[in-house]
Amino acid sequence: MLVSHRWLGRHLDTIPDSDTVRRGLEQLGLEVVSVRPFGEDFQSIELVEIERRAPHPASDHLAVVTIRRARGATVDVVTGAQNGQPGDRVWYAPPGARLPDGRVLETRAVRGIASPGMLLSGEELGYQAPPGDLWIWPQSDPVGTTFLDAVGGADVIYEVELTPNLAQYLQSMRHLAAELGALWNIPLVPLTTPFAWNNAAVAEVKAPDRCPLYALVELTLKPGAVSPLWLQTLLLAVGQRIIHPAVDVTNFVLWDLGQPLHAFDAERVKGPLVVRLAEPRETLELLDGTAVELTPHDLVIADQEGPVALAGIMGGTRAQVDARSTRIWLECAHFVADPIFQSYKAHRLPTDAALHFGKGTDPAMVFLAPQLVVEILRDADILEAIGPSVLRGQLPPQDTISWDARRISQLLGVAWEEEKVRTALVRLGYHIEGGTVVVPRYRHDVSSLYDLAEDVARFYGLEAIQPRLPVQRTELARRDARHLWEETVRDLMTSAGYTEVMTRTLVNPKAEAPYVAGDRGELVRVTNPLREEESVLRRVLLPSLLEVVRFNRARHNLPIRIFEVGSVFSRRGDAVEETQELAAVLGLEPVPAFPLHLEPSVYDLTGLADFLLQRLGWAGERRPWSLVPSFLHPGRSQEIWVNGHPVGYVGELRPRLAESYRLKRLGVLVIRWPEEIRVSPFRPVRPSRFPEVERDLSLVIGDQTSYEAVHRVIWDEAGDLMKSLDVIDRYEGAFGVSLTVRMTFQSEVTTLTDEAVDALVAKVVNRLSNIGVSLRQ
Amino acid sequence: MSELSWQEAVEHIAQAASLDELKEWRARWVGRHGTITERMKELKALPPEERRARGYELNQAREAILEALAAREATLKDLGEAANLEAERWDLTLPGRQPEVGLLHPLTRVRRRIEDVLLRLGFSLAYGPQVETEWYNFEALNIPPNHPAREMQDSFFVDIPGMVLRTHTSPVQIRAMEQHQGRLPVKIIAPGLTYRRDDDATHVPMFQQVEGLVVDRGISVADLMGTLTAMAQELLGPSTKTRFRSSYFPFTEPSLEMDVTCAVCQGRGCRVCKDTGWVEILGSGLVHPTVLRNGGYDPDQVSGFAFGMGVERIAMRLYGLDDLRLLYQNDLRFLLGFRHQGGLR
Ligand SMILES: [Zn+2]
Repeated sequence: MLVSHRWLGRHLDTIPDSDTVRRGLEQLGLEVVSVRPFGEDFQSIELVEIERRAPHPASDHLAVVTIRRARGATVDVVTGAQNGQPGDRVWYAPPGARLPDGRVLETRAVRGIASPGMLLSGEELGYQAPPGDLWIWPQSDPVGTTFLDAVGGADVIYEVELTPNLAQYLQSMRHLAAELGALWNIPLVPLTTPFAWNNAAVAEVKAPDRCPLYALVELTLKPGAVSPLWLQTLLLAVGQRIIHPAVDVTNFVLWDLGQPLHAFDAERVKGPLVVRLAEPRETLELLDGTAVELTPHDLVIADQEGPVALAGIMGGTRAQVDARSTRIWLECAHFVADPIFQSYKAHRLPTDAALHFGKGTDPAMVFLAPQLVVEILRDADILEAIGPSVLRGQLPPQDTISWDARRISQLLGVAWEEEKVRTALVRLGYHIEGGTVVVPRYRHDVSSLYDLAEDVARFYGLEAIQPRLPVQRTELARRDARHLWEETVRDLMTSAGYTEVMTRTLVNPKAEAPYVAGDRGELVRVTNPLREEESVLRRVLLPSLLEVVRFNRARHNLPIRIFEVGSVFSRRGDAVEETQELAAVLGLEPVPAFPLHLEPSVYDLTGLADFLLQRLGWAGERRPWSLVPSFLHPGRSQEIWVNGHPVGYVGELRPRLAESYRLKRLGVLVIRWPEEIRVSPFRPVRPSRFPEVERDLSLVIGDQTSYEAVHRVIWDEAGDLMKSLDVIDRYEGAFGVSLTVRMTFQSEVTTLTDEAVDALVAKVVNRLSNIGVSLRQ
Repeated sequence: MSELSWQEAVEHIAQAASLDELKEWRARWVGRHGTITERMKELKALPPEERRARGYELNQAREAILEALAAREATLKDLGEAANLEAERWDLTLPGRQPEVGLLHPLTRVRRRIEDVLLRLGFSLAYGPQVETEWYNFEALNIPPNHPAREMQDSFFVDIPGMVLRTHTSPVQIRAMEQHQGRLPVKIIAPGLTYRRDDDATHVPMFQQVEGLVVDRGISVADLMGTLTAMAQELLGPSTKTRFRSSYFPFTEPSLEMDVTCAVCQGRGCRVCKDTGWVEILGSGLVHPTVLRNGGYDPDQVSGFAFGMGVERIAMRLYGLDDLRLLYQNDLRFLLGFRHQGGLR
């Protein structure tokens, strides 16, 4: 909303400078987006007198006009205007002057005659002037007067943003001025007196619960009149267009008092007017040319032939006022806000009237606004006659709140006396009688002591409240155990060398589907997505990370070692399960580096999986797939189980998929939070003080034998004396695959002899031969 | 036998050029067939007095030679080690091998910082679902259908009747009050993902908020201002100043926005702060009586304050970023740059 400094000033005894006004607006809770001058360009437009008018030697349509400027200087200007005779005073824009449409004037040759600047029409200044090409100035201002002086001087325009609560009552210069005046203790200029209706049967209300007050008055205007200059100037300053005195004056009253008015061409309606709900399927052609189909939720103004306006929102074409209209019916009403809001939402018609009625207007203005219109038109000598008029309905009752100054102070955290609290509220327009606060009718936003506390805070300014820390019983702050796991996993992953990424949970269903392994339920679909690629909530995290791989590989060659702990969603019926999932991606390509090249492989990820399970203490393990998902390498992937349930997988992406992310090979790890997390108990062990004995065995393993089998046999046979078993080498030769394992033996109670250890090793070797594993010769 | 006296031998030993030469000297003088050894063997043939004197002399010579050998050996070994080590010299101006440690996402770091500050102020962590009912996301927070405030937060709806992607973390206010079942105080923060239909340099459709809520007897605007100022100074630095402005949120009354001094110009005014010296950082207010009631608390008996802030906005301030989208682009060149941000945890 644009607010004019001069316009505000019309309502206040005195108005402070623009900095003070800006701060005042901010204190009221309005955001002042910008403050800018209005009328600066009018400073260089000056009044001149025409001395001579001669035909242009090279054109029948042009004239060379000699004008006299201030201090007697004369200038010849070429004009195409038909009017403008010697003795007339007109507006002249010299070279360098800027017009409202943005044109900057210069000296240019017109058919061989140099013409510095130009003589102006009203339209070129943005105004509506009496007919004629040039605006012949009727007032007696001296030559040299600037147009800025003629329109009353410069103005300052504040562009403010109203929050919904303030929009409920502050969308007018009057109400803004009233609040500012309350802050500064500056009296308001009294409003006009109520209009005197003559109770003609020109309107009736059939829906009084939607329209508590409805007034109609017939006015006859003098033909060909334009709106007074001061009114045009104020409207232009706040960004309104000048259309027709009947429309201009309603626009003015809308922004002045916050009261929307509507003018019907009286010749085009068949009275009396009726305020009623629309009939099903009734249609109305609106002023903007569109036709709307109405519903019984819509309120209409109808004449004897049908609707002529969508009440409080927009008029229809049939009764439209145009340049020829002289006899008008002026409507001034109070509509209940919420249904108007819904109606303009439904029809997508956020007109200025709708934005006022739909948020809440001041019903008291219904009595004053018609009188203001009459006064403006009469002063401008536009009003010919006042015809029949009527007011239907009555003022709605006022809301009340129990008076409790102590509670208000308590809510603010201040120790203010009752009188101080009362002063603020009274100045803001409340009446406090005994134990009751009577709320002004325009305060649609106020219903409780909390609202009153807000007004008191705004009145004195928030800086009047001394900040403090609350005095409370001390409570231990708690973290949520389940979410702590997320943080632990993040820390483990970064300590393992992986960098965290953060992707969006809204994904493309087509990109997500190929990576769904196991039962992940149905998709949750967004019904109004910004784009198809962000139209579902992901069920799995991996594809989001793969997109990160693609993005990065398209730009650089940095090693890919990334992870995310993020939300995934599964729909089961109308219920949505939200879980956390870890996904990690490792680029499986050698990384040239000094002093050692890195050769990441899928073993980095299987090891990472074990590392995580071990550090988290989750009872988990890797297992062979019963059915490998198609996106994984069938020979290089495993499932991860925790607490007897599959929770994820580790392995290589199928290479042809990896290539689509611009890498030959990609390793992936995914672990979803188990529903119930059980931590394996751990107790630290005192190390034995007896010496360790190591034995290395080089074993030849058959194609069909997994290390796991070897591992199990060795542990079974070696028994408690073996403390650790490590694979220290793997070798492939003509004989097949050979693994070198190192067994470490140690007793808690004695020094082991070589004989005892050799006997154990012999037993192990013997058992291994049973599964086809032999010592390498 | 030898043309040299043992004193001359000692001098030669002290000059020996290598350990091999020393070995020769040792063999020649004190070895099994060395000069001194041989002479000692000859002692037996001498008469007793002469034997003693000669023996004493030979022993002295032997001691002197052994001592010279040991001394020279030590010297030669030192020299040898020095030469060996010199030969092993590495170019340590080559890059060292850094431990491979990954980095947390900047938004994780900032969220943890916010949580840390608020935990120290006594706030417990609480959570709520991202796919939320319209009741918790709107109605319970005093945003009935057709309320103008629903336009302020353009929502994503999902194909489950009555559900939305939560537009803020504020529904956790209601959930936390319900969980407290009337107990006092309620003092929680709720970090989490939120969604709005927005996408430009300053808005992303998915973003992170941290919500805060305190409900107790006698909670006031002054408590809100004090708590949030303490938080801002802990989070952004002790010299940070705060300013509160009236605002509007449907679920708070009165509503306040908090500005902090602009980090770019230290409050003097610049392009970032539109010459005001202040940057808005969070929204807050006293919990609206309707919201308290919906959470099971009596607004005449207790009161509360709530606040909500965007983690991204705080991150942009802490790291001096001007484009929000960088935070969700996951460009590793950007993310790995944060290895230098140790001081910001
Ligand atoms: Zn600044």
